Amino acid sequence: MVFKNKAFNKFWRFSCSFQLGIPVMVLIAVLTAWGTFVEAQFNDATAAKKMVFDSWMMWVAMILLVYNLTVVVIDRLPWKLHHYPFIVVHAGIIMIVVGGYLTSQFGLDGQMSVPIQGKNNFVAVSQTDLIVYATFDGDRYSKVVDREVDFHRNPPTPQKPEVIQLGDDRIEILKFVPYGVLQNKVKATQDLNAGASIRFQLMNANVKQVQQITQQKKGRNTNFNLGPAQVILGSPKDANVSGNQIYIEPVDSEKVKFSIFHKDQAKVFKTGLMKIGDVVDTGWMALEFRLLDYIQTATEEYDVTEVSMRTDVTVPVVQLRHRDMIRWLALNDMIKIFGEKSAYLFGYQNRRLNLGFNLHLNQFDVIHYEGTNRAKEYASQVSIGPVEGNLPSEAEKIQISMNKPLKHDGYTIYQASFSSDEMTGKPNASVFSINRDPGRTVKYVGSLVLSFGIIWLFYQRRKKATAV
Amino acid sequence: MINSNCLSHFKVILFSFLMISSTAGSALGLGEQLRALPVQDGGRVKPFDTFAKETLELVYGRQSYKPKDGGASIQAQWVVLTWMLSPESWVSRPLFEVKHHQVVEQLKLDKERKHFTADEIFKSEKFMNLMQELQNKRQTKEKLNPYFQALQRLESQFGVFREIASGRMLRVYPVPNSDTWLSVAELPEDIQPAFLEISKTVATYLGYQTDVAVKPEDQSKAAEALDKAVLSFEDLARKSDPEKYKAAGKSSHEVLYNDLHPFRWAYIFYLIAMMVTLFLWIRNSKSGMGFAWTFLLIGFAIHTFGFAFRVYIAERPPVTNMYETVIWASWGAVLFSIFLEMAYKFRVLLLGGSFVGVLCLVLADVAPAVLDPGLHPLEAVLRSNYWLIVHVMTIAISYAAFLLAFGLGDIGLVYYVIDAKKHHEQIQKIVTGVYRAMQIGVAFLTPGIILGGIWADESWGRFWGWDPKETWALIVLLGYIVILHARIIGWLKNFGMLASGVITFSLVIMAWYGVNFVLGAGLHSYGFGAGGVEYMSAFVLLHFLFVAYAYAIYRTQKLVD
Repeated sequence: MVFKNKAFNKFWRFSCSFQLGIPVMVLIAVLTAWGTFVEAQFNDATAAKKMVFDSWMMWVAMILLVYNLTVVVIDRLPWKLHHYPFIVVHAGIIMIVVGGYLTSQFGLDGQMSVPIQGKNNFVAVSQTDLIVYATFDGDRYSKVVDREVDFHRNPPTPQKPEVIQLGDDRIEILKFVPYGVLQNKVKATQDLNAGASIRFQLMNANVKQVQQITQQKKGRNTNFNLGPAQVILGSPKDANVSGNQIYIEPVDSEKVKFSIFHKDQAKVFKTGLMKIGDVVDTGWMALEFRLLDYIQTATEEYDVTEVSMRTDVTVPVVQLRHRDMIRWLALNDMIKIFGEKSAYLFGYQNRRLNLGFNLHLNQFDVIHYEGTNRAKEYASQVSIGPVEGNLPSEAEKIQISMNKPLKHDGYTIYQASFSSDEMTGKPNASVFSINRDPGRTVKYVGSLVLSFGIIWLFYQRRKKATAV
Repeated sequence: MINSNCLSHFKVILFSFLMISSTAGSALGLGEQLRALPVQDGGRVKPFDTFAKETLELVYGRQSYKPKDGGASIQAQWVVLTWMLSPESWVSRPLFEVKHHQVVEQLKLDKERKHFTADEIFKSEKFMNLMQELQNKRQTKEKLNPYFQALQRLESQFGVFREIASGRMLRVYPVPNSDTWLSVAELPEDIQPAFLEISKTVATYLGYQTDVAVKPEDQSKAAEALDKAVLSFEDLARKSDPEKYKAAGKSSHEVLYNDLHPFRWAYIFYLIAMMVTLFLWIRNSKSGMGFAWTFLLIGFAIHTFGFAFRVYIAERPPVTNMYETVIWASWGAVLFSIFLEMAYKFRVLLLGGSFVGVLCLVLADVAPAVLDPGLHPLEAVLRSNYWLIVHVMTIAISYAAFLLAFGLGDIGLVYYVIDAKKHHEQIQKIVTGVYRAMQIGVAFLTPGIILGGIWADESWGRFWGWDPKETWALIVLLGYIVILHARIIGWLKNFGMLASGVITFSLVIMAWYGVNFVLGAGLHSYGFGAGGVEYMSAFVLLHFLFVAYAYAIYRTQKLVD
């Protein structure tokens, strides 16, 4: 194509030249290579995505690529037969890039963990929000803030904190630690609504276990599962008593009441009062229960150590300040803050989207390689039910396994992994990856077109005996 | 050209090779039945031979034991068996390899030695401290650097040492109600005498072996007794659970595979083919290519046979670790060179093919620590997936084409170092080969990457996730597309094409090897040292220097003109 306007013609020639095309390809190669190095450095795919793969530089490179590929094709008008393979190849690449764009803008890619025999209707995605609930009476809470934040990209600093103004209360987020290691600290508090905390030891000839459990809130039961036996901090009154269980119920600031239940016996096996240092024989497998520490009203806080790369024990943490109090808050956790007139529940969490249906996990099976603990295959048997109400008894039972996803309501549900109980090693929840990909068809068609074009191109070039 | 004479010659050799292999079942020599004894280990049933070799490799760093006093090497199966039957005879021998200098230092061991006795290592208080150090490191869930990897190996060495000696590690007896086979230590009482019989006959057999006074017929009698004892134990085990013992049927075939070393034979033939082709190519001889073809095709047949044998034993296409992809890609490179040679008859294409065939197979043979030839079970997500296999094979075969371009590029650059003008014709041919090989590579790599996307989409619901492996495959693709485009518009002339063939291959090395061993190890911190990264870097660097050197000569020649 030739244009009358000289300047435009020059611009057009450059646009469809290799002087543009080759540097763009090199740019994409260099950017993506850098991305993999970033990922290796932090051992974190999210960091690489935020810094490189999903950055403005990458978008510029991709737009330039599509622009160059399109202009080159237009420039060849009117097309002759020998142009077709090259046009097909370029069209294929453009379609794949466009498909990728559709996926990243309109798609959904999240994770959902469903406990065995349990259900879930929320899928967690990678976007993060700050959420604040306020209460005047400590009973009813209402959401007062719901703000999307991207601290990976725009980390707050003490000089430029993220500010949440709640009436007279000003909460500042001073710092974002992408890779923090938490050490739990249990502290006594004056808050009468706070839960209790105990540290105990369970011991026999084979087992020696020291553990601390803390109630989230006064009166809310919390438990520790040792497989065949359970320790529950709370009252047996409203609990579902079954199996070998010991209930530790706070009485006053020094004493607790224990109630021991045995499997196969409805009635309590042994009950009484105990204080720090006391030992009681549980009667199960000669296990002794020793109370090492007890705090009637306690809060769990953590200290944070910042490390340089992601590991399985690190979590993103923010540091926040309210007046002269400085606290840490880990991702997907909540803390309570007492303001001037009201109390706040402050959360930093992954956004959870309601799927509009409940995924029930009826059964989960793992097959191991013979004689090892390595998983060979695993599968979940699920049913889909309404968000409200129970699962209808005639609900279809569907198997989801590796490479055998379930499609429902525009979502595709994949078997991603599973989590196991720390103590028993038995699986306790199945993890699904859930996605909706509006770009899928475009990408697939583009892939076909591209592959076809390349083969065509290859045949066309083969006519010459030697390359020159 | 393949003339009919050569072809028949080739057929005879191939036939005799297949004859050897068809006698698979009875390939075990006298007294060697033990090697085929089925053992459950690492998630599969394998012959005792494989088990013993893997164990010795872990503990000693080699597959046979070389006594200090210079006596004959002791085969792995005898080492492991006698170690179990009389651990005390091994305690005082230097059986444990410790390579990491920092670990040697920490244990206060002699820095001049590589192998140490169990007492020297495990009895020292330092050892327990090191194990505690490793335990603490594990709790942080950080990636282990080479020092901690060395500690980890020490830990497994200790574990294996203890478990073998106790008889708990050797699982030989299947039972109907459990997935786990019973170990020697757990054998039911009525079965124990049968195993005891093996120990007894082994003792006699080995005793006779070293005793020169024993008559040959007594030696073979002892060997027969041993074989009989092993077979009758196998009968008992089969009776216990015939269904599970069926999987053991391939044991003797696997022993044969261990013995044959098909890929070693393949590179020997490739090497001969390469020499012949090189000679003919340099002499510019018009005849004699039949010889080169014969040797290359024999090598290729053995290569194919070895690959097929591995498929048969593993019951899956073997493209799931570095070793297997190297074997597969070199097979592909030779295949492409055969096709290209048949199309162009340049001879140099065959030279390039045999060159990379030798290079890869030798590499796979000499570096078992990096290229692990063991057959291991797959992760759940990698199992029985059609797309996975297809995409890995497609991508690896594209790397094969780039490998060929690399080999040809090397050869071509040699001409620039010698005299480019004089060898213009040869260079032109080589450049054609490089260009074609790159085209083949791109034509395979593009669908390969797309198939990988389809696999990821099916398994994870993500067509593209910027995973390092897929990203680097894309970078390789971009690299070669840039080269091909630059060639079309004339940015790259002949020299440029040859140099690109060599230099762009470093992207393939990064995608193929570097992602696992450089990126995988965690970039910062521990630097190089695991998995032969230093050798690989030297290899890449040397080629860069070679290209620079060839370029310098090319420039001076140009200036002279």
